[in-house]
This record gives sequence, structure tokens and C-alpha cells, in this order.
Amino acid sequence: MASTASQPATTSGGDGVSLAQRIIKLLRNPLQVAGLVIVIFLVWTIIQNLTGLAAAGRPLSVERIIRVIIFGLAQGSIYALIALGYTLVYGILSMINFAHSEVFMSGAYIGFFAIHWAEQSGLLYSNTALALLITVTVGMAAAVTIAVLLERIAYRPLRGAPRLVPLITAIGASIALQQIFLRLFGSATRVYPEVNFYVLPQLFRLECETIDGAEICKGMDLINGRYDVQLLGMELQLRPIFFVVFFLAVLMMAILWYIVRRTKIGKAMRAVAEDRKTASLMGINVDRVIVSTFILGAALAGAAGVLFALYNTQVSPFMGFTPGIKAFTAAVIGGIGNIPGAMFGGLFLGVTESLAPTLLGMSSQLEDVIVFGLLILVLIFRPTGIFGEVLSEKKA
Amino acid sequence: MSLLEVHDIHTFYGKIHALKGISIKVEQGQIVTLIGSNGAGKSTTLNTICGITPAAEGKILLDGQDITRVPAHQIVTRGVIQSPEGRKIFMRLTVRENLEMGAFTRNDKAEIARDMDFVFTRLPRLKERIWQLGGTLSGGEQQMLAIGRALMARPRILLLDEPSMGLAPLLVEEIFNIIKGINEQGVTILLVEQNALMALEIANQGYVLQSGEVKLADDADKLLDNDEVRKLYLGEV
Amino acid sequence: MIASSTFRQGSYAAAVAILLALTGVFGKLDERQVVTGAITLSMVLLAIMLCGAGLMTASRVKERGIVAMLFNGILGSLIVGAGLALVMLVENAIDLTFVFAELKTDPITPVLTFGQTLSSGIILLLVLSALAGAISGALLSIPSEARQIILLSLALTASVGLLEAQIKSINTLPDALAVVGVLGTGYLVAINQMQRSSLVRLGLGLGIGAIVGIVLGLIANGGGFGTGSRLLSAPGILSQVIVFALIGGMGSAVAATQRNIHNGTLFVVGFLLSIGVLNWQNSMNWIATLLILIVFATLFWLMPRLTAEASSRFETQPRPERQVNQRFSLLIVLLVMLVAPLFLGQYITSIFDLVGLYIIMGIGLNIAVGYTGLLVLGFVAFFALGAYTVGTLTTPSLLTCGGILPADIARADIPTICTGVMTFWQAWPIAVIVSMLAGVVLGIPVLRLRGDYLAIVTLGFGEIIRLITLSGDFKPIFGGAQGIGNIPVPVVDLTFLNPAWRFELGSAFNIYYLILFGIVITAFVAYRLGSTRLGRAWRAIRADEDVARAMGINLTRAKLLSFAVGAGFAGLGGAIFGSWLQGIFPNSFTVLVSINVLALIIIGGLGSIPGVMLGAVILVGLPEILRELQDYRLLAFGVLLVVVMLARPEGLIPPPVRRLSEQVDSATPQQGKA
Repeated sequence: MASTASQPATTSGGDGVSLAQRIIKLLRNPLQVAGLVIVIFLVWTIIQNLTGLAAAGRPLSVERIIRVIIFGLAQGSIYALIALGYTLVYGILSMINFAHSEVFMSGAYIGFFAIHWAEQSGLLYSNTALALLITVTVGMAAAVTIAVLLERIAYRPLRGAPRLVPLITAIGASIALQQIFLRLFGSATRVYPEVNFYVLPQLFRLECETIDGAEICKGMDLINGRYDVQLLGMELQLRPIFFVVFFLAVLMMAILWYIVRRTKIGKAMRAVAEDRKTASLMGINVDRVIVSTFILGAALAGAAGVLFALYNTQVSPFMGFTPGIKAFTAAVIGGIGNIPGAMFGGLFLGVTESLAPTLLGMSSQLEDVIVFGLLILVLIFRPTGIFGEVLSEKKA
Repeated sequence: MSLLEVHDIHTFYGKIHALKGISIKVEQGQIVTLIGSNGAGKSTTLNTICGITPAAEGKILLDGQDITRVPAHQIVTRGVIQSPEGRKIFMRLTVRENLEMGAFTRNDKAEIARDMDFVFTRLPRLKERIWQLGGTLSGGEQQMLAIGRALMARPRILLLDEPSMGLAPLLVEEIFNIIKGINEQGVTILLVEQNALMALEIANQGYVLQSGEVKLADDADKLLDNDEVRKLYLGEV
Repeated sequence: MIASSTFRQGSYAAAVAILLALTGVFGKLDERQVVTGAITLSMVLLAIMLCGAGLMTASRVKERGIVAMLFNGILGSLIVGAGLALVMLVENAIDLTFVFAELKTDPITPVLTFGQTLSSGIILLLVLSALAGAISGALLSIPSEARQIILLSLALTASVGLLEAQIKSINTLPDALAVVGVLGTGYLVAINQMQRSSLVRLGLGLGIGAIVGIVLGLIANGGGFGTGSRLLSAPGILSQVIVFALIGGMGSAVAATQRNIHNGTLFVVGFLLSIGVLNWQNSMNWIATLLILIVFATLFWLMPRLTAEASSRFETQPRPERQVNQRFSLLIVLLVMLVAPLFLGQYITSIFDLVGLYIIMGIGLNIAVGYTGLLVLGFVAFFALGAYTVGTLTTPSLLTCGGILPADIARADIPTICTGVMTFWQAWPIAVIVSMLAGVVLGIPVLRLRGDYLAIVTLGFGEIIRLITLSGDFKPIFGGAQGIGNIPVPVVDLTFLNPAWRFELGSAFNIYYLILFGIVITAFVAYRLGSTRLGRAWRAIRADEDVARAMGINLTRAKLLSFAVGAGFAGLGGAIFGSWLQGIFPNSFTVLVSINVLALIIIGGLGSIPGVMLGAVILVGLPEILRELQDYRLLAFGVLLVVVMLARPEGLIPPPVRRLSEQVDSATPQQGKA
């Protein structure tokens, strides 16, 4: 959909303007001054906390910060995967697919039934890799189905309508989907079974027991393991699942990137995103391209759902709402319509959200406030996002 | 049998009756031009032929086959290619990618490569800018790119919508020479133009449209001599 | 004969039916009766599904004639029936309750087999499906007006049946007949006297009504109408005279009035008659059902005709005459609203209260979204602020106790230290101002945003407010998860006039008047604002921001004012809300409230105040009444949003397009046309 060498963002600041002039220009805008004040305040608080000058307590440990960052990266990967769905659809249809959060949820929820079956039938224990693969596939398939139905039933008939109408429809669809899942599958929270996925026992001499005098090691538990590690003189407790999630997310994003930039369908998507009518003059089947976009975004979100559920374990019909909003924030931060932007935005958001309460000395109840606050800050300072918006000319 | 036959088509934009029974014939190898003032229905005619704004009534035949109800992206596969009004190249794609887009419906890699070389030979300025983004080209270059892009689809009939729009007179001449050259290579062309003089000079047949109807239809050189045409469209007093 | 679309559409309908069945809806709805002892709500749902499918499939083959319609209709319904039968077979074969949890408590089979064995039940179901399909096909072959009348009457009759318990004591049959009679008489008199001025006609109506009132009053006082009649057995002849005079006047006013008022009046008449019948029969038995059906059918048949005539009479009247009629009608509506709680009882009045609060919020949001086109999704934030402001100011809190936490003060000392504690009447203006300020504060950063972005950011803002009020960090001010309790009720203290006149607005009944007052004020302000330059600026912004700016409209000022006014109204609503519940909890202020308000103004018709009211009644009032469907309320809500957007995006009562002729009319003959 976009190259990083995109149109320059529409902010102020020309060439050849001296630094002093730019500072004065910045100060003229009261909004930016307010934002600046907030940022300075935040930085001050952070410094205070870090060096332990704050009244309450002892300085924060580096171990804690590292742990929080790792968690943030994993969480951020999930956000990034979901954000890509938002950004893809926004780029091609100029609408926020409000119901995308439910697409994410459906992946996690239906994935639950798959993994539950695997547990009941024993496959989860006999061939964990296969069970996990089936779960992810089922999750992705469910998400894709929901997305395609959404596009066909709710969005396609409204392609030319004024802005408000598809948005309301999306909101309605989002609520309807939540409720359908709730009504169909009940209000009890479903819990993913404990999964133990051991790998590479030769390399990782972990989870060992002594049987008949011989030490047998199962290897590193990718999903459920928690291991104490000595690194650079620090005692860290690491959970491999976070690294797995991060790695898989990056892999999926790379695949998406390849599809969008190199393949024919990807180029068609970019063409349709830029100018729908002209694209059809090229012989591109616009409807098909739009559906493909939805499918791609949904596949990512569905996979994200399963991954999320693997370390969060709980799934409910409402689990999509908050990650959805955050993912959208991430997409905006990175620049809506901008794929690498969405990836970056997700990771950035995940880390910030985890790190900020710790650094600022607030409770983690307020971590959502931070996310929303961040959104507003971005919109004050740089409404086009960090990498700049990439939209078709026809933004209403 | 003509290559393209349009029989009495009516097209609506909502309640507005844009085309009120247009009939046109384009023979193989010809340049046929539609001239007329703003709002006469010229672009609408092209869009109807291409399936972008389908006709409410009437028939469109390509080589005798009815394409009236065929969806836009399929009409392209049958060889009806339009270079739209305002050029509409993809600003965020490179020159090369734009040309590749033109060949979207084709799968024969080798032939596509050959055609691209051919386009670059005819339009060398495009080759100079092959890796540049479409949005960075000048108006004339964009028009060349649009035509080149259309050629990449190996059109049986090329529909050109106001290629002279917004271009300086010298460039217009250059573009029209290119168009003539393409036609000499065997491509049939349906040309919509406001610049009636230049259009009629290179065309074989001409149709004068007014308020959604065909007012006059004749050989192009006869139209050039026609009093009414001279008065209304060629600027004669 | 068989259309290809029939299989496709039938399958879609079957899929929907199966999904619904799997949610256990049939079991749940089976509790509620529509026709006493005979038809339950679940049967109605089944009928809707089957006939709906039949109508869909049959209408596709309309041109092919009635036989094709019947055939395809039957086929469509059969597919749905077969789908349901299939699900039942599966339900009996394997245990579905792990996946479809609701089936444990509300299994499908007992309901859809109508109490028969599985096989005979299925056969019965299939037969019924075919029947439904045939009926649908037949329905399509009758003229569409007749069809609409039938369907609407059935729907309303079913609604009456559903609400039987709550509404049957609202009025008696004699009540209804008296009202209809007097109203009708005034109506007929007015029609006959159209040549006279409207004041004269009104006078005639009032007079006739008064006379009838005297007669009825005398009869009533002689015990002629028995007890239970609210209207007719009111004490004293004077009240009868006044009431029926007013009704007579209303009749003559309505004879030449606008569509909405005329339709509304007819609806009320219809409902009064139905309730009267229901009351007479004392339950929704077959006789009552039939009679009510006839009432509504007649109503819908008469409505377009009568309304068209009344409307044209309205148009042909000169302006001052029209205004007299209009004002009188509105006066009557207001009077009816004032006395309604007496008739409707506690339960329905409390529903009105909730609907009323949403109307206030809706009018507020309407200014931002409907007039100005700014999509605000976090509207509940202003509502919350209004409530919390009143909460903190009317109870001992950090603010009112001079900066000391109430928990740190001994109980006895509270009155002396917490001198800042205000009454409701002092606090609500502050609440409105706080909300307005918040509206401006929200507005400033989002001035440049359009459409979807604006929506998300405002959503975020709303969530921020909720989270802050919920959090432990801000507990001293907002009370955290427990919220604020013991908020005193508003007290109207007129003891200086009369020692007995101290009214505590605590019950649903009393607060109704406060809310009604709020509605009148906000509706009035909103309506008037709409006609000012500011209102026009708003509408210009909604149409196209860039063009508006080019026209010289100060976007910043207009948008901020739009936010401020809208937020202010919400703040008022919140202030009343807090006092009504006598306590505030942060979880009352979720996104869902915002979405609810947005939905009701959209479905009602963006930019139209009557639309807001209708939307509130449908989206807030109805679910409260249909208790069994409480669980499905949100689902219906979401689906309704989608369906309305697909089918009628302008809403149920879109705002009237302002006509040039109005302005031409107002020019006096001497000035000539503009």
C-alpha cells in the first residue's frame, strides 16, 4: 500500500528556517505549548522515579524494566498484527473497520474450541506442534470467515455512502458480533488449557527429572515455561512465549510486506487504494481486491487472537474491545494506511503502555489512560502519524 | 462488421439523463473522434462503453459480441482499454509499476517485457524516468505514461479521454503525433476531445455530441468544412 | 417455476434461524404470552422467521404470477423449517451444550415440537412452515397498501399482547370511547367550519367538549361508569368539563395540523381503544385480540387518508391560523405529558424517566452530530461529569469539606466543617457549566479531525473519564469503584407559600416532572438555536467544512460552541441522573451509553428532535418493557443499527427540509415577493 518514501507529511517547518524561528513558531500555537508542557512533566516524573528521588521509594530495578519491556514487545506484536488489519482496510476503503476487534476475538474464541478438542482427544499432548498448528489455522479461518461476511453484508452495499453511515454500520456490526458470540456460546469465560510445548531438549537442559538414575530433559517449554536466567549480572525471569509471539508476529508481518510489495495482488491492492476507478480500468476486479484485503487483515488478526489467548489464557466475547482500540491507536500513531507504520506503532504502543505506569509511578489500572492520552498527544503534534499518512486523494 | 458498435445507449447519473440515445460505429484501424463542449456526454460515453457507468438501455457490441452488461474489469480483458480523463496515473507507483499495472490482466511475462521495451522506444522520456514516482512527472509526461500504460494491455481498441487537457500546445502536438503513430501501427482509437481542430485533423470519422445526443456524424474532413462545426467548435466567426 | 434465488435466500434465512435457535431464544421467549393461553412469544418469533423467509423468496418472483409466488414462498419457508428440524435432530443426537451453552437451560426441541414427540413435532413444524410460506405468497399478491395494513396491525396487536400486564389498567373502554367520541366530534365540527377562523373552531370544539363533559360528569356522579375509570370517575363535574373541553378543542385543532401531530394523535387514539378493549376483557384472549386487530387495521387504513386531508387543510391555512392550531396542539401534548404518570403507573413512569434522560442526552448529542456533523463517540463523558459534579457538590466530599477528606472527619462534625454542601438546585448549573467547559476542552484538540478520527478520539476521551473515575488513584475525589453514594434528592421547597408544599423529588413519579422540564428546556433551546445564524453555520459545516470556511464561517467558534452546548445538555442529564439514583457508580458510564445515544439519534433521524424522541422510545423504552428480551437487547441493537443503515440511513423521522416557500409566505403582500 505504501512505500516508506511516501508523500511528505503535512506539518510545518520549511527549509532554511533558523532554529530560533522554529521554536518561536512552536510556541505560538497554544496547543503545542500545552503538549510540550505535558511531555516535560512526564519526562520529569520519569527521571524522578528512575533515580528514586520520589518520596515513596527505592529506585526501579533494571530487571523489572527489562521484564516489562519484553512483555511490552509481545503485547505490542499483537497490537501490530491487529493494527495492520485496520490500516489495510482504511487504506483501501477509507473507513475504520470498527468490527475488526471482533474479528480478532473470533480467532481466539473459535481457536479455543479447536484447542479444547485437541486436549480432549489427547492430540495436545501427543503432538503438541500439530495441535497448535490446527488451532492457529482454525482461528485464522474463523476470523477470515467473519471478515468476509462483514464485507459482503454490511460494508459492500454502503461503498458510496457518506462517512457516517459505514461507521455506524461497523459499530453496529461490532456490537452484534460480540452479542452473537455471547448468546451462542454463553457468558462463561473460556479458558485455554495449559499447553506445554517442549523443544530442543539437547540444547536446553531444562525441565529435567531423574528417572532410573538417568537425567531426562524435556527441553524448553515455549508456551508455559518460566525460566530464571543470568544475563549480564542480572537475575531475569523470562517466559519464552513472549519471544515466540514476537518472532511469529514479525514473520507474519514480513510475509504481508512481501505480498503487498511484490505480488500482483499486492500491487493491485495499492492501486485500488489509490484510485478505485482507474484500477478497474486496468482490469482489476475491485471487489475481489477489497475482499482479499479483508482476508489478509483478518488472517493476521485471527492468528494474533490465538497467540494472545495462549499467554492470556482467557477468552470472552468482549476481549476484543480494548486491544482493538489500542491497535487502532497504534495504526494512527504510525500513520494510517502505512504498513511499516502500523508495525512500528504497535510495538511502540505495547512497550510504552507497559513501561509508562512503572516509570511514572502509577498503577497499571491507568495504563489504558496512557494509551488514549498518547493518541491525543500524537494528534496534537503530528496528526499524520510518525511516518505520515498514506491515503488516496479521495479522503472525504 | 465494425469493431465497436454502440446502439442507442441511455445512461443515467441518478436521475440525470446523461446519454439520450447515442449510436456510434468504429471500424477496425480507424481513429474516430467524439467532439463537443463540456457536459455533452463524451466522457460518459467512454465510461459506459468501459462498463464504469453501465448503460440503462441500449446495446454495445464488440466484434459482434454484446458487452453491454459485462463488468468493467472483464471488458478490459476483451481489449477495450481506456486512458481516462485527467490521465489518472498512479501517483505513488513508479513509472515502471504504472506500466506493469497496465498489463495487469496479462500473464505472458516475455511478451509483457517486449511491450514495455516497445513503449519505451516510442516514448523515450518515460524510459529516462523509469524509477520515478508517477506523481513527480510533468503533465505531458503523465499523459505519455497514461497512453503507454494503456498500450501495455495490447488494446484492440484504445479509448482516449481528452489527452490534450491541461497541456501546452507544443506538447499537444507531440501527443497527437504519438497517437497518430500508434494508430499507424494498427491500433483502433476512439478519441474524445475538446480540442476539436486537432482531433478532426487526425481522425477518420467524427461525431459531434451535444447534450447527450449525437448532433452530427460524418467523415472527419467533411466535419472540418462544416459551417456549424466551424462556428461552434473551431472558433470561426 | 422455482427461482434460483429461492434456494439461496432460503438458506440464508435458515442460517439466521438456526443461529438464533442455537442461542436458546425459543426457550427464553416461550415464557411470555402474547395471546393469553394460546400463543407465546416464541411462536410469534417462529412465525416471523417463516413468513419472513416466505415473503423474501416469493417477492423475487413477483412478475411470474401468483402460482410461482405461492410455490417459492412455500419452498422458502420450508427450507427454514427444515433447517430448524435438522438442528433439533442434531440436538437430540449429540450433546451440544459445551459449545452452545444456552441450550442447557433453554433447549430447542421442547419448544419447536410444540410439546409433541420428536417425529410428530418435526412433521408439525414442516406443515406449519409450508402454511406460513403459502400465506406469505398470498400476502404478496394483495395490493401493497392492504399488505402493509395487515402486517402493521399484527405487529401492534402483538405488542399490546406482550405488554398486557403493564398496560391493561391504564384506561377502561368507556374512557376510550368517550375520548374518541369527543375528539371525533370536535374534529367533524372543525371540518365543517373550515371557513371560520381557527380560534372560532377551537372555541366550538372546547364548547362541545365541555357540554359532553357536563353530561358525562353527571352520569359518572350517578355511578353510571363504575369504578376503575380514571377519566370518567374523576371527582367532581368540573374536572370532567375541563378535560373533555380540552379534548374537544384538541379534536378541532387536529383537524388541520401537520402530519406528525395528526399521526401521533391517531396512534394515541388507537392505543386508547386497544387498551380499553383489553381492560374490558381483562386478558388478551381471542376476542380481545381480534377486536384490537380490527382497531389497528381501521387505524392504519384511515391514517393516510385522514392525515393527507388534515395536512392539506393545514397548508391552505394562512400562517397565523396555523400557528394557533399548532400551539394549541403542543399545549395539549404538554398537558397530556403532565398528567400521564397518573394513568401509567409507577413502572411505566420509571421507564419514561429513563427514556427522558436519554432524550435530553440525545438532544445534546444531536447538536454535535445532527446539526454540525461532528461524530462524537465518547458523549457519556459529559453525562458522567454532570453526575459527578452534582455528586461531589451535594454530598460531603473533598470539595465541600474545605479540602479535608470526609472519611477523616468525625460524623458529628461534618455539618459544621462541610459547609460547601449544596442543594441540587445550586449544583446543577455548576454541573452544566463544568460539562460545557469539558466540551470545549475536548473540542480544542480535535478541531482539525474529521469523521472516523474524531469518533475514535472522542471515544478515547470518554474512556479516559471513565477510567479516571474508576481508578484508585483518584478515589478521594471520585470515590473509585464505589462511586458516590447518599446523594440527596432534589427538594422543591415552597414552604414560604404554603407550609405543606415541600416536595421531595425522590420517586419515579416525582422525578418525571423534573425530567420533563429538562426535556422541554433542552428541546426548546435546541430548536431555537437551529434557526439562528449559528444553527445555519452548523448545518453548513455538516454539509461541507471546507466550503463553510470559504463562506467565512469561523469553524473554531462554531465547532466549540457545538461541543459546549451539546455537552451542557448531557451535563444536565447527568445532574438529574445522579440525583434520581441517589448514587453514582462509574460503571454506569460505559461506551455503551454513548453508543446508545448515538444510535437513537441516528435511527430516529439525525438533526430532528421528534426523531430523537422516537429513537429513545424505541431503543431505550422498548427493551425495558420487553424484559425477556433483555438478554437480546444488545444483539437486537447491533443488528438494528446495521439494518437501519442499510435500509433507511436517514432515520425514521428525518428533519424536514426547510422550504423556500416558508420564507416567501412570511412576506406580507405589500412587500412583494423577495
